[in-house]
Amino acid sequence: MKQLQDSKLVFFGKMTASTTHEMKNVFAIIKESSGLMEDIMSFTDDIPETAKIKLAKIIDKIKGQVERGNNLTQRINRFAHSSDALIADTDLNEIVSRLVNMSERLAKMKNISLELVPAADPIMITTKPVELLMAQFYCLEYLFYFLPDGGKVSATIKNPESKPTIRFQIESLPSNPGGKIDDATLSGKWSELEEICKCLNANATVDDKLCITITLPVKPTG
Amino acid sequence: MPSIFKNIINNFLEFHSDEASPDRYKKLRRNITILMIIITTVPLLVMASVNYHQYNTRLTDEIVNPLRAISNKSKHSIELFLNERLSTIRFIESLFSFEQLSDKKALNSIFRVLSLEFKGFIDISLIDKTGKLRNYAGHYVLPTGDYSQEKWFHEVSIRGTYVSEVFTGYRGYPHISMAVQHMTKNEEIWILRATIDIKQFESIIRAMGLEAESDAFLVRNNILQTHSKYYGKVLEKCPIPIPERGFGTTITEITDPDGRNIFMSSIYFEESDYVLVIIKPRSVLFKSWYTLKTDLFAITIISIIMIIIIAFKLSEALVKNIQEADEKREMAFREVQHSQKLSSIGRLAAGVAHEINNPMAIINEKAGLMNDLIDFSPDFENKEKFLNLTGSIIQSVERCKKITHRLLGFAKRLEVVFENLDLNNVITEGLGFLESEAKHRNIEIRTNFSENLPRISADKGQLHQVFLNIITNGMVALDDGGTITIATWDQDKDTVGVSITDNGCGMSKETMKHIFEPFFTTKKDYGTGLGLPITYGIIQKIGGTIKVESEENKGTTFYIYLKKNFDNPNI
Amino acid sequence: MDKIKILLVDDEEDFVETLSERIQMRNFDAEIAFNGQEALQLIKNKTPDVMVLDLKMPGMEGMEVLRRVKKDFQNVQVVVLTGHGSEKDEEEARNLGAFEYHQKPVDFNILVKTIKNAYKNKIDNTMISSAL
Repeated sequence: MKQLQDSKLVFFGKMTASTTHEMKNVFAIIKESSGLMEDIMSFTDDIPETAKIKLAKIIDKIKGQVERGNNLTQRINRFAHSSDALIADTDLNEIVSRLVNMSERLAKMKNISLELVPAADPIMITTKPVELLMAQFYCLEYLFYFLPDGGKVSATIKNPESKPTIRFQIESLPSNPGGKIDDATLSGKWSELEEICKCLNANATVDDKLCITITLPVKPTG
Repeated sequence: MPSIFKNIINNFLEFHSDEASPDRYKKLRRNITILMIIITTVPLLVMASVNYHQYNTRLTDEIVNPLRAISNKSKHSIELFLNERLSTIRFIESLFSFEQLSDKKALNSIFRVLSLEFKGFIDISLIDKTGKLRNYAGHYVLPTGDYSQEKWFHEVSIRGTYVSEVFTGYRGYPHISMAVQHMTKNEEIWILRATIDIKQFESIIRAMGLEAESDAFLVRNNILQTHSKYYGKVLEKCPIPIPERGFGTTITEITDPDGRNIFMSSIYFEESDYVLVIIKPRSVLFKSWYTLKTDLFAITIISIIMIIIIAFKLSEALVKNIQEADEKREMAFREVQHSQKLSSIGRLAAGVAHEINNPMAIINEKAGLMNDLIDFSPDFENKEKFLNLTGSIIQSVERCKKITHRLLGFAKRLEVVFENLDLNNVITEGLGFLESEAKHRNIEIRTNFSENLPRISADKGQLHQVFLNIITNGMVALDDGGTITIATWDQDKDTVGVSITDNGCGMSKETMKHIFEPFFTTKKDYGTGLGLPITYGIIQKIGGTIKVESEENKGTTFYIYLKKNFDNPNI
Repeated sequence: MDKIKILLVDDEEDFVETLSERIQMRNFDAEIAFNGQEALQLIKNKTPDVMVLDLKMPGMEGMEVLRRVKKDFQNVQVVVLTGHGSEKDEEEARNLGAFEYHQKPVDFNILVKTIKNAYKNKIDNTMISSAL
C-alpha cells in the first residue's frame, strides 16, 4: 500500500515535471514573440515615436513577467523532481531553498518575509527529499501560526561537526508568543513534524524563543 | 468479589494497542495462555487432588483403624499376661513367710503348682535382703549367687516390684524375670523372683492372626524382645526407630531399611518400657490405590498437556488475529496520514502553480494593451505582423492557462478522494498530458467512447495513473506514426470496460506472462519496471480487473474492467 | 449615459495598471486600489458601479473585502478575477453576492462584456427597487 502511495507520488512528480516543461515552452514562445516585436519595431520607421516608446516599455514588462513565470515554473519543476527518488543525495542548501522558494507566496499572503541563510559550502546528505520538504513546511506552518502580519522568518543552514541542521527562527518575535502555545492545533502540528522527523531519522526541537532546529543524519539508517 | 476478579483479568489482559513496544503481542499471548491454563488446570488439579486425598483418607482409615484396634488388644493381652504372673508371685510372697519359702521342698511344691496352673514359669527363687540366693525351684540348678550388685535388685528395693527386659542369662535362652519384695511390719525384707519364658509373648502375637507379609514384635529400649520376621532375632537391635511414648497407639508411615513402605503401629506398655510394634507393608494394602493413583496421575497429566497445547495454539491464533487486525488498521491509518501529508505538498505546489497565473494575467493585459495601441494607431508598416505577434502571445497565455489548470487538477489529487466520475472525461483529461509527446512522435490517439457511459465511483488520481501508465507503455511499444485506440463501453450492470489498443510491436507469450510482475521490464536502460505491477495493484485495490491480449508484430490490447460502485473506499 | 465607474482591486500593480489603461481606452471610468483597505477607502468617496476584485491579496483578503462591500454598498457589482480560485472559492464568492467569477488570465473582451452585464444588472436592480 505504501508502495502504491509512493508510486502515486512519483507519478505525480513525473507528470508535474512534464507539465512544467510544457509551460516553459509556452513562456519561450511568448519571450520569442516579444523579442521579435522589438526587432520589427527597430527597423520599422513609420510608427509614431510616442507609441514606439510605449510599446518598448510594454515589451520590457512582458519580458519581466515571462522571467517571473519561468522562475515560478522552475520552482515547481525542482519541487516535482524531489519525488524522482524516494531516497536521494542532495545538497541541504538546495533542498531548503527549494522549499523556501515554494513558500514565499504563502508567506507573502501573510505579509511575512522569508530569508534563507545557506551554509557557505554545499552539505551533501542522503535523505528522503519529499519527507524533508514536508518537515520544513511543517516548521514554517508552525511558525506562521504565531506571527503577526509583517513578521520575518529566517531559515539558517549549518553543519557544525558534520551534524547538518536547519534552523527556522522568527526574527522579530511577537510580544506574547506564549499565549497560543498549548493550543491543540499547534501540538497537532508539532506531532506531525515529529512524525515526519522520525521517518527522516532526524530530530526536531523548539526553544522558548520559537526557534525550531532540525538536526539531520548525514545518511539515514532507517 | 466478581468485580475483583474482573479487575484482575482486565489488568492481566490490559493491552495498549498504541503502545509501541514490539513484544506487546508476545506479552498478550503469554498472558492469555497463562490465564487460559490457570483457569482450566486449577479446577482440574483441585478435583484431582481432592479425589486423591479423599480416597487416600478412606483407605488409610480402613487400614489404620483395624491396626489400631489389634494393637491395643494385643498390648492388653500381653500386659494382662505379665500382670497375672506378677500378681501370682505377689500372692505367693504374701501367703508364705521367708522361713516357709526357704524350705526346699515347700518351694518345689509351690513351683510345681505354679507350672501347672500358669504357663511360662521357668523357675522361682528366694533372695534375702543382702542379695544372697537362699532357695531355688525350677528346671535349672543354680549356683548360690549374690545379686546385691545387680541392677534389678536395686530397682526392686526401691519400687517393690520389677519386670526385667528379655535376657539370655546363664539359662541359655531368652526369658524375662520379675521380682517382688516382701516387706513386713517388723522390717523383715526378702525378695521372690521368677523367670518367664518369652514363648508366651510369641504365642500372643501369633494369636493376632496377622497376614503373611505383616510382622509384630516387642521392643524395649530399641532391643527386640521377641523374634521378628523381618527385623532380626530376639535381643538384636531393632533397625527401625521406635517413636517416643505417646498416648495410645502411634501409627506412622515409614520406609524400613529394606526399602519397603510400611505402616508401623507402636504402643507402649503402661507399667514398663515395652513397646508392641505391628508392621504392615503398604504395597499390599494399597495395591488398588496405586493403580488408581497412576490412572489419576496419567489422566491429569494428559489433560494438562492437552490444555497447554490448546491454550498455546488458541492464544497464538487469537493474538495473530488481533495483530493482523491491528496491522490492517494501522496500515489504513498510516495510509490516510500519508495521503494527508502528500496533499499538503500538493497544496504547496498548487499554490505556486496558481501564482503563475499572475504573470500570465499581466502578460495577457500587456499584450492586449499593445494590441489596442497598435489597433488604435494609424496604419504603419508591419502593423499586421505586430497584431499577429500580440495575438500569438495572447494565444500562448491561453495555452498556458490550460496547462496550469491541468496541473492544478492534478496537484489537488494527491490525496485519495472518491468521486462520481465520467470515465470518458477522466481519460480525455489524462490524454492532455500526453498530447505534446504524441504530437512530437506523430502518434495518433483515437478515442471511441460510449456516449452514455454510466458514471463510476473512483479516485481520479488513481484512474489517471492507471490509464497513463498503460498508454505510455503502449507509446513505448509504438513506432512513430502508430495509433493508440481507446474505447469505453458499458459492460454489464456493475461494470464498465475500457480497452487500450496499440498497433505496435506486441509481445511474446512469455513476456505476457510476466508483465504484471514487479521489476520485469523490456525497456532496456529505462523504466523501473514498476509501472504495470503498480497499475495492476491499483486496479485490484479499486475492485477492478485487467487483462492483456497481444500478438507479436500486430499490437497489444489491455482490457480494464471497473466497478461502477466500488463501495470499499478503504484506500 | 454616464461612464461606467469601475474600481479595480489587485495587488499586482502591472496587471491592474495595464487593465485600467485598456479599460479607459474603451471609454470607462477606472480607478485602482492595490489592496483591500485602500479599496474600502476609495469606495466611500466615490462609489463605483462595478468592482473587479482579486481574492488573494496581502493584508485584507479579497473575500473579506467582498463581504464588507456587499454589506455596506449592496449596489456595487463585484466581479471576482483571481489566479488562485478553487471551486470552493467560487461558490463562496457567489454566495456572498459576487456578480461573476473569472480565473486569471481572462480574455479581455470577456471581462469587458462581464463589466457591461454587471452594470446592466445594477441598473435593473435599482429600477426594480425604485419601482417598488
